[in-house]
Formats: sequence, C-alpha cells, structure tokens
Amino acid sequence: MLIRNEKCDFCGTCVAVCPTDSLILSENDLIIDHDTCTKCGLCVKMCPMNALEIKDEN
Amino acid sequence: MKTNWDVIVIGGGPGGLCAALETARTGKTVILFEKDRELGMPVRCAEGVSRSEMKKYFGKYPKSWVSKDVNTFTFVSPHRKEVSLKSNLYSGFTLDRREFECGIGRLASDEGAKIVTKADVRKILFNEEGNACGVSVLICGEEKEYRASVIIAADGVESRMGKQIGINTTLAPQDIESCVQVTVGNIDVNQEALYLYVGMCYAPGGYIWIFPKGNRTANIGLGINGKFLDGKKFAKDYLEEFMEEFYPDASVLRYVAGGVPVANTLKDLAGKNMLLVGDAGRMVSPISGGGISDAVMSGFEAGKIACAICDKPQKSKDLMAKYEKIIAKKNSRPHEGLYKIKKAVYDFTDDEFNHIADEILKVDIKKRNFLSLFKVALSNQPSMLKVAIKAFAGI
Repeated sequence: MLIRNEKCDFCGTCVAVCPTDSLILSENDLIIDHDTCTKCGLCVKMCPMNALEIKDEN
Repeated sequence: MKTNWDVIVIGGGPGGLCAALETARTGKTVILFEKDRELGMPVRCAEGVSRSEMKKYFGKYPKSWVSKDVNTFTFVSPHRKEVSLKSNLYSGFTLDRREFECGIGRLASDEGAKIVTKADVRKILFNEEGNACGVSVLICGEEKEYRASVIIAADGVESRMGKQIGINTTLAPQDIESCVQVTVGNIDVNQEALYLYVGMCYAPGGYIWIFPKGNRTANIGLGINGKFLDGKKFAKDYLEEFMEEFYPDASVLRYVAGGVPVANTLKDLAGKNMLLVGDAGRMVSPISGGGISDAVMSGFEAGKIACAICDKPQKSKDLMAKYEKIIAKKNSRPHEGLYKIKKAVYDFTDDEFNHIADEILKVDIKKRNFLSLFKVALSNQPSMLKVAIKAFAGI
C-alpha cells in the first residue's frame, strides 16, 4: 500500500507522474486512491522529499 | 456569490492570473479559483526572469517585483571552473514572486476579475453536448458548482484538469525534474550573477542553481531528472550534501520541494471549451526549467481566445484550434530543438563537461554566448549541432 509520511511538502510532483491519476493534492493533504493505484512506484522515486513508500499490507 | 460566469480560471499562478486579467479587461466576467490560502505562496520557483520578457508583458512593472538585478550567467564545471556569459541579452532579475502574483491579482481584481483562494477545483462539469460548462469546487469543506462558457485550466505541474477532457498530461520520468530549494541568509555569493553548477557530481540530468536575492540572501536549489532517480537517493539528499560542503553556515529562511516539467509542450492544449495554460500544458523550457514567461504568454493568449469564444460560441472549435496554433508557433516549436539538446546532454560525463568548460574558457568573454557554448558542447555530434544552431538562432 502506498503511504505518505511527514516529509511531504505537498508539491504535487507525485501527481504529475502518476500514470493512473490515483493521487489528488489538496492544500494540505495527499489523497491516495488505493483501488486505482497499481503500486508502480514512480511517485516514490520522483518525490523530492522521500515522502512516499510502498509498504507490505501486513 | 453568483454562480454563472463568462470564464472560469482554475489556478492562481502567473498563467491563471494573466488569463483572468486579460479576460476582465476585455469586459467579460471571470472568476479564478486558487487552491492555496494565498497568491504567490509558497514560492516553488527559482524566480529568475529576463528583463526584456517582463517589459514585453507588463511594461513598467513595480520595483517591488524585483529582488535582485543580475547581468551574468556563470556555469560551474565538475572540476569547479567558472564559465561566465555576460551581455545585455542576459539582463534579468530575480522576482519576488509573492509581490509579483499579488500584484497581478490586484490588477485583475481592479479590472473586475473575482479571485477566490482556499478554493480547490476537483471536477470539470460537462453539458449534454459533452463540452465543459463549469466546475465543482471544494470551498471550506463544501462542494459548490459554478458555470461558465469557457474554462481555463492553469492548474500547474499536477495538470489534473486536462486529464478530464481526455488529454494525457502525465509526465514520464525523463520529462520531470524532481526539485528542492532553500532560500538562505548569511551567505556571501556574487550577487550580480546567476550561478549554475552542471555535472553528474552535482545534479544528474539537471543543475544546482544559486540565484541571488539581495541582502546576503539567495535561492539555492537543484533539479534531478527522473531518469536518474532510483529510489535510493532523492533531490533533498543531493541538496543537503551540497549545502553541507559549500554553505554550512547558511541560515534557511524557506525550504520547498517541487516538480518541474522538462517535456515537449503537449500537442493537445484545448478541447470541449477548455484551454490549458502554462505548466499545465507542459510549456516550460526543457533546457532551463524556466516557465514563468511561457505561463504569462499563454495566459494572455488563452484570455483573448476565451473572450472570443464567449462572443462567438459557434466558432469555438476554430478558436481553440487557433489557440493551439499560436502556442505551437510561440512555444512548442521553439522548444522542440531545446528538448533534443536536453536529451543529448543527459549522456555527457563529468569529463566531457570539464572539457567543454576548458574549451569555452579559451573564447574571449565578449564573444561567448549560449550558441557558442552549445557549439563546443556538441562539436562531436554534427546532427545535434544543427539542432543547437536552429534552437539558438538569434541569441
């Protein structure tokens, strides 16, 4: 599951690269659609702040 | 607040604000929705602009828009040699983007534009003909609907609005720079020049910039191209290393992250009575990452076209095509050459960057310009040389 940590600066880089439009940025929150997210990991690499990770669903 | 307008603008950056200004002064009703709480902030931008571009669009702009005048570009090679380019053509300044955007906001408001902040546009609304006819906005937790004849999408790097009319705005890794920037105090840098550190050792697929802001302050930031991001090292790590080595005593006044498109401009920029402006249309220069003047230019053009569509809705398809033609001429085609050069530069090693610096330093400073720089850089790739000459013709 894709999760965001406290390093997030709400810059929207992740939104720009998401191939499934699964990310929405409000002024102070990153909304993740876990149903459409394919966990491709692009957002994780592109994030300037290392604020995203894909964790095991255990 | 009324719900029916001639034009709705999504996004209150330079592009959206100029679209609203143009629409209002042409006499149409326009409402602009900005997601953040204030215009201009946070400043996710190095703030460098050319004086001639600013004069062209704004005439006599207020002094408050200027942080620091600059007259030189200085490139720094991996082996730390400085290569300066200086001429009247490179005259520019660092903006104070908060003043700049609030300034344009005031101009637009005085002409009758309505600006709403803390207003997050989530959805485009469509009519029976399948054309965009309004938006659904989240304002203080409540969803509200607004209608208009034309929608201008100036929603920046995220560019989610374009997706809703079927335009693929998603950026591939090689078409985005993952960036961080600090605005720092207590530093002694040359306040007359824009510094760019170029090399794999500094910022793979990008560069580190030091843009002076006056009073012993500067914007120091970098962009790493997505092609070089492996999930182990991030833009913030590269900047922290640079600051630790070069400016350990600097005080951080601001710290922001951001994504900069370095793509070819989208081929599709309009449809269903909606127009894309600025970063949302990927109009940023692929080689410098600068996009303010492109956003301003396209904002003004979109405003003109939107007003024409309001006057002649039956001609909307022709007018949207006209918008795309204007942008192709002023932006997309000039950027195609720069995009090819950008891709060639990704393959340069630090030894090659050092060699280029050594060669350029042999050229008299009065004869140095961007074209001569790229002539040297691409001298062993004759096909790319042609691209460079075409791209830099006239500079």
